[in-house]
Amino acid sequence: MSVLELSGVSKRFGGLQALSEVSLSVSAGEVLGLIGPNGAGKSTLVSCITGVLRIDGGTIRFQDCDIQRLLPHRRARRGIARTFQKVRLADQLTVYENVAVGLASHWFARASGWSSVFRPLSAASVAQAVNRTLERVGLGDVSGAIVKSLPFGQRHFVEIACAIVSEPNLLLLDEPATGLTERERERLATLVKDIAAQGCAQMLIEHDLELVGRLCNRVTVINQGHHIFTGTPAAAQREPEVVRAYLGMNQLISGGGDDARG
Amino acid sequence: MGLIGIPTGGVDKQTWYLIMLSVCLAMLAALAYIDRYSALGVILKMVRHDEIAAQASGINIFAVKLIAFTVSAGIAGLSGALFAAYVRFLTPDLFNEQESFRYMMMAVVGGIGSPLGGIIASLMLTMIPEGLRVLGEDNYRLLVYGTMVLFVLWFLPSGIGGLIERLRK
Repeated sequence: MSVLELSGVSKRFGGLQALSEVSLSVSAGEVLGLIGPNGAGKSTLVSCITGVLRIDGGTIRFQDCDIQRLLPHRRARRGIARTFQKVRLADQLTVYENVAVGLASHWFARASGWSSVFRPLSAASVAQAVNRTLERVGLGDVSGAIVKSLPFGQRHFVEIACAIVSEPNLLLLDEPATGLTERERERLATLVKDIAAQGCAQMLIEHDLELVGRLCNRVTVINQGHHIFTGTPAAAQREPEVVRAYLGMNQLISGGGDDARG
Repeated sequence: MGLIGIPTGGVDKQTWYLIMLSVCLAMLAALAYIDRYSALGVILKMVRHDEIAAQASGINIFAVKLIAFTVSAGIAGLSGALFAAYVRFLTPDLFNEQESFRYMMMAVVGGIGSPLGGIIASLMLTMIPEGLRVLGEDNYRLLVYGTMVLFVLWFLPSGIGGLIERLRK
């Protein structure tokens, strides 16, 4: 069963049609690659799914419920988490504090939400979840560091930790490999597979097509707001329209194919 | 123009002052706890820092802002009630531009989000003008006072609280 199902989603900014009847679905445990040239509408699509932008047409269903009318925080509480293309963390706070904020969707989802926000950040229930997540993303040793003091690559992992600490059902990763070293990219790949293994559906927006090929069973390609292809990474590189969209780069996606891992 | 005969419950002025001080310190301690140690503290900071990221974490930013505004208005109201019982006579002149500016300066010089900075700034901005009375009652006194405030704002844009943070690090 699909965790997320988009049907005919359209979004217009004045005279610009940013998304035009885009349809796609992501199942539990699947990593769907979302690729396309710059300005294709990938980040706009993520903002529509998370509710930051209201769609002009189509439907968005999450776990079989229509979520179009839900505000962004309500969607997060239902289990939709995201990372941002440009890392958005509270620079002045510690890694631990930033990740603890990620638990907010957990706290407020309960009826007793407002009472739980008064408990100390060091409370066992908070510390356990935060420390476990930090260990999982490999940041256990920088828990007390101020985010501003961390190298750029590490901040991406802090953002992922913020997103997964509340154990979401859907994770939207917006260009998570940007600025990562080779070693960090490997860590990211392992982490994405680990998250998928726990049953979380993921949508990976990435320009690093080699990484997309390694991690995704399926890719959806959009260009100028139009959905042009959904299929295996191997099939994507044979699709003429996809090749045209990438200006003739005919070796788009290495790896992947039938032996792609999810 | 003013309000007289404010009931004080038979408590003398000195005791009211102590009650007022105790309530203010208790409120300050509660707010400092929320700011520094509680989950609500980091939620408020996240909303201030980045609303979109806060929403993505499941925070209802409208509710958080509304509650923060309501609570701060409540604190101001409580402070006003205590102050009224202490001075026993209320007139708009008690909150003229100069006084209102002084209260605002206490927060700015203290540094936003710093309870200790706020206490130090309040003491400074109350004591310094009094101490400067040795210069006489004319405007030189206010000139020196204003220069000192400008000096702090110029060289310490994050206030005394920011300086304390820097020294701690």
